[in-house]
Amino acid sequence: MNEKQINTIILLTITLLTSCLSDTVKPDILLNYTPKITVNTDFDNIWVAGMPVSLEITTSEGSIDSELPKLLKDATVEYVANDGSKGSLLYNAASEHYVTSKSFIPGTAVQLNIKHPFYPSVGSLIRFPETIDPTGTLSIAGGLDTSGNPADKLAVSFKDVSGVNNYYKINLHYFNNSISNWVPLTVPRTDPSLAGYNSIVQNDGGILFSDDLFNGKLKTITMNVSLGYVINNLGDKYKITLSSISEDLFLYYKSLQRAQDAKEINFQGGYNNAVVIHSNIDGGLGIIGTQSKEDVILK
Amino acid sequence: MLYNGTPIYNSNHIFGLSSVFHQRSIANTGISRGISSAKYGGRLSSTISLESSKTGSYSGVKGELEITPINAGIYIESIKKDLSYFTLSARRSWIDLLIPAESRQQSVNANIYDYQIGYGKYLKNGDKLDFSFMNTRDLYFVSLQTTDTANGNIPITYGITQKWYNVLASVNYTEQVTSQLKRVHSIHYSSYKNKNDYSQETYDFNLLENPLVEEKLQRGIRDIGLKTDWEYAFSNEHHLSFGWQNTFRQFLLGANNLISKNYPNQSDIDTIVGNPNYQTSIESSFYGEDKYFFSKDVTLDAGLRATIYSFDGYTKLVAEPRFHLTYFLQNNDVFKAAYNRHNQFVNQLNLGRSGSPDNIWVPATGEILPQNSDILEIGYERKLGRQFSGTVNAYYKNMQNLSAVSNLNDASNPEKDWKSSVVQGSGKSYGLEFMFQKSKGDFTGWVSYAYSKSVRTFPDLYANEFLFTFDRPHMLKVYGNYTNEYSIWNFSFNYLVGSGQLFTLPIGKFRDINGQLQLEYNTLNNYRSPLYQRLDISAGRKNINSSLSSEWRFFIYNVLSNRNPLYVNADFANASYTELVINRNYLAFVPGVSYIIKF
Repeated sequence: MNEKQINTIILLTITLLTSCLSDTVKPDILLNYTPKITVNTDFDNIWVAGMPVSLEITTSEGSIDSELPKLLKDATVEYVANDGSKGSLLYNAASEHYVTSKSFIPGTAVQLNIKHPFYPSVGSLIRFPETIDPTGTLSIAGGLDTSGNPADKLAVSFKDVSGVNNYYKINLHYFNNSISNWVPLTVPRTDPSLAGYNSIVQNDGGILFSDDLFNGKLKTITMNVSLGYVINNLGDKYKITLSSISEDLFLYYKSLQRAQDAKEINFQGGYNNAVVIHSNIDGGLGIIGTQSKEDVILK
Repeated sequence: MLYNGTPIYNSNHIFGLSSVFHQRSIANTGISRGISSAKYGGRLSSTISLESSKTGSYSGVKGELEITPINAGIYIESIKKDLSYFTLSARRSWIDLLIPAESRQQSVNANIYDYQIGYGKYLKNGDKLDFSFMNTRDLYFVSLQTTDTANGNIPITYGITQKWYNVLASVNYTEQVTSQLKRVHSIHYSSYKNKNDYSQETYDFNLLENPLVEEKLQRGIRDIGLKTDWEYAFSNEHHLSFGWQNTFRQFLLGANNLISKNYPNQSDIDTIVGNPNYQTSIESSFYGEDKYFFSKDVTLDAGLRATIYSFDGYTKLVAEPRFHLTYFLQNNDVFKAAYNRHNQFVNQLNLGRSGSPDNIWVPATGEILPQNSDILEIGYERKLGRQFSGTVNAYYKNMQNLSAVSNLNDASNPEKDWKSSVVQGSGKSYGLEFMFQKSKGDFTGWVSYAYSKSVRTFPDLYANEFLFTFDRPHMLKVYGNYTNEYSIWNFSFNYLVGSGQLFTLPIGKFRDINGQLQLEYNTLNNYRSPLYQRLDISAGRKNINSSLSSEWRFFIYNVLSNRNPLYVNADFANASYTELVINRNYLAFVPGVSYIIKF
């Protein structure tokens, strides 16, 4: 390449580069952000019917603010259950959660109101799902695993309530007698309701799913688990935990998963990857998840 | 977009910055923004119909050679009046040819080309045959070299290649059966394919052959269309048009060829994930329309288009009524009113940016239903003397089963079912447009103003209705051109001012159920860029002292250097989510020059 050609390329490149400009701005809409109260049950403390409940309260901050969300320790948290009972959740410094010894029964609704002198008040109407009374069966070496080898066949059955959308969570554990502990197992996604986009895998190995494919029917989920967990170990056993979860919790996790996926691509123009995280906190952010949880022990 | 009646699925070069059409390859442009005759269907959006030159008022050969900073092109037109025509236009980028061939193969390469060929002939019986062919291609390649210091300074080369191309071909046979009956029979083929290749080669001198991994992703769409269109002047009052159109549309939804070879102690792998086979949909339409001359002042086009569509066991029959009333007033003013219904059986999944070659064409299915729209439009046109005219148009459009991508990762992953990443919703748009035009004299041009609003509702994306990404309520456009046959100079300008483009930015951040930070959006498309303003100017100078006619053309895009963002990117500059940075990219003061030789 001769000097003239090189100069031509350089000139054209400079012309193009000087035309492609960029700048950094702080748009006005982001400047006047009003922080909100964010209420969450945390992952290990999703409200379970029949158990004491707790929640975490934090603030939200503007996206261009250098502040990070912080714990709110002096909020007033009151509840009114539909059986007429009232009470408060009080801040516990050790757990950094608002707690109460009150428990709520399946099928009830609770109105939660949270006030703070510096932030707009928020509220939430929380419903505890009905129990589902699952039953289970175990057939030692009664199935085949994905490699075609004999496997333990576990099944759990329950009746779905018709006419409404119901949501569930399933977990699988086995009890290791030698360490006296429940060890989580990954739930095989061999059932159509556990596969595809309408189910969500959780960090604890559990799967959230909907009744889209079996609304109003008796549902049986079958799982084949590779041999070796319980067959040779006296005292070992399986536990299938089936929870009926609130629709809000399902939608929340669904949006959370979409947001996580979108993050990897960045959030640019358009609405493809700006994911609105579902919330059941009126006037605020976050989620209070509820579930009615039942265990099926199989040995 | 149609080119000589054949759909083109990607009309962009350079990732949307340039069109694949040479300006001289287009003789006529027709734009139908929703209201169209029953002959046209299958689209909700505007249809742009481009026609190459097919006739002329002379016999002879003429042409142009053109060179610009990006490419060089040629246009040749040979016409035997009332007998035949031949046209050729071709362009190719030339900057890459200055780079040594070895560097183009091993380091970096970028080139584009397009060419269009048209040929037509009148037969002895008065019938006519038209052939049209078009091919476009973009190729980009970059290779990066690095060293694996963890494993003994082994050189590694990464290669990234992206290539996309269109192939279009059509044959039309026009019969003038009687003075009242004309028939046009056509067959067309249109193919678009996008290929992304990634490779990694490790230079390990201890091995006979270098370990290599490759990933070759390809997607595409192709049409084979057959149609016959009839026009029959039944009487002075009734002009009928009717016909049958059939399209076999094939989708290559994504096939990823994974190759791994020459790795020590490992078997070579050559496997395909996704679906390497085209899946076919069939769209068969019948239409009929009566242009009824109710009186010398009033015509009514009343038509019906019926389409039966099938794909993978899903079948849908739709009927689309079309009405178009035209009322010629006494002073040559025209009043128009129209209603149309349209259905669309093919969708383009927008994977982040309109016009991107990576966007995927997908069929309507039982889960992702065909899109449809109802359009109402009224208009008034008025002649203002011999040189001026004005128009006013108002429209309302209601759309159902619109599609949007809910999960970019899954939608672009050929291993996953694209349908699980698509949500459907509805939309509506309405607007009012004014245009004032001067069409004669040395100075011509027009001024237009449009007020419009466009909203979308996608319950699975956001609970409430939100503004559509391309919603721009106000837009004023002014175009002017000065040409004097005695002057060697001609000038033109284009000025636009209006509402800025919408983007979605996070307004807040909060802790989620897992203790992680999440972003808060108050609504989608919540940030409107500042006022969009752009002035483009151009000037041409004819060279009359040469034996060959030639012309210099100069232009400057965005001469005022207004910051009209093409792309907004917002991200946290650090992992602790404390510094949100919003970058805007824009083009400002882009000069250009071209030299044209005419023969």
